[in-house]
Amino acid sequence: MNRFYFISIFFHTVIIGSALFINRSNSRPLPEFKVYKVRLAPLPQPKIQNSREAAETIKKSSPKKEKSPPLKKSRKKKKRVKKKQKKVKEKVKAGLPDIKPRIMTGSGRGFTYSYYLNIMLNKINYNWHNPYKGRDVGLKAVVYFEVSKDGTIYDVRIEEGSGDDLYNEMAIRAITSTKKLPPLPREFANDYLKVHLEFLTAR
Amino acid sequence: MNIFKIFMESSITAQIIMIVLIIFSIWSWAIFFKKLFEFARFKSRARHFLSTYRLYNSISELNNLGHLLNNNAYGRILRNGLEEFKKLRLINIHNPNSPDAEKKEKTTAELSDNIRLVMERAKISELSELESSLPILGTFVSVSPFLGLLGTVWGVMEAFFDIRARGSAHITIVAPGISDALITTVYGLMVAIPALIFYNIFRTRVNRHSGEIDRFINEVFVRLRKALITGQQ
Repeated sequence: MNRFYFISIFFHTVIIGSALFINRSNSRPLPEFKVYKVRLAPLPQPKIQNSREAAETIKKSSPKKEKSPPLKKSRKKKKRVKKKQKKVKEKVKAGLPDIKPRIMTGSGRGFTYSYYLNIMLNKINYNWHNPYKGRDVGLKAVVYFEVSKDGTIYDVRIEEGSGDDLYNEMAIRAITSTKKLPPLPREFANDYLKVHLEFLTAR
Repeated sequence: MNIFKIFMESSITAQIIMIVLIIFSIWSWAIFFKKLFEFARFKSRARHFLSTYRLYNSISELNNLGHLLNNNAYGRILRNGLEEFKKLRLINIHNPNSPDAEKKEKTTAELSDNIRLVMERAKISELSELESSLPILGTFVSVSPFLGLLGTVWGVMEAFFDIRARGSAHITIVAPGISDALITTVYGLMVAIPALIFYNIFRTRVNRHSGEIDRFINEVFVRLRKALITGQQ
């Protein structure tokens, strides 16, 4: 009986070994993961909306929304952005090869859920189109926004302009078109999360 | 997809299940090799025995088969039959000219069934030897998929606990847990499928050999009974 066990063990090692060998020879390099540098910045005091107002803005279909003045502004902004974006797309096509923009964020104090930040940054990065992609322009814009418990983004505004209107609009656009994030971690005590997101052009 | 890497990264429960499944796999393959060897030996010895057995025409010559009566199933069955045959013949020899000869002949004919029964008994012990370890294979066939399934369900359960703990059901959180969990089912099936094939192969072979042995027993029984009743040597 013993000798058959040895044969069987030998057989298994050969099969597992060959499986490992085949894997190694066929191994494709894994796609590189983007590394986001997360910086906890000292917070300038933003205007904190009441939760009621926030709720109003979240309900987009409700008639209340039209009454509130800040939303009208944002709509106008969106229209402007759309107009500009068309122009920008044409420019980008003609531009130099892309350099991926680095997004840096400063989040609220005590928010330690890095996986959530990663998801958020991934989503926003998907919608972020740098108008000066590949060009040697150094710009920095900080956008402030709040995320409610169910993950809705509201109160998007420029906190620190880059000095370039197109760039600012595109930064806001990146966040407003993200619209919905996953709900905040249940353990996070606050009703909403304040985010200060830095948009930096890469050199 | 690296098997070894997945193994190292999965949870302790999945690792235990995978180790058990690997042991099952080694065991079932060992049984496969052992049975393969045993059946090959059985077949070659049987062929050798049967080819020589057909050359012997009288019963007394059959005793001279020597080691062929001991080293294979057919030989052992024949030996048992011959021993019973001798015992029965002694009754006749001691009372060759007894007054009730007809009655004796009748009882001899009746007792000749004993030869068959003895050979059937020998056949059962031979078959049980051939069938040994097959129940283990059968157990592996039925148990290992369930064991793999247990690992998977456990892993999925852990993934859902993670979702509850983090409060988010994003695919990046759920997918790794579930993909790790599925590996145990893969292992379970990898153990069960070969084991099922081996089990069916050997079960069929045992049935075939059983039929052949039955035929041999009938052949020998006819010969011995005839010799017993007619008093042929």
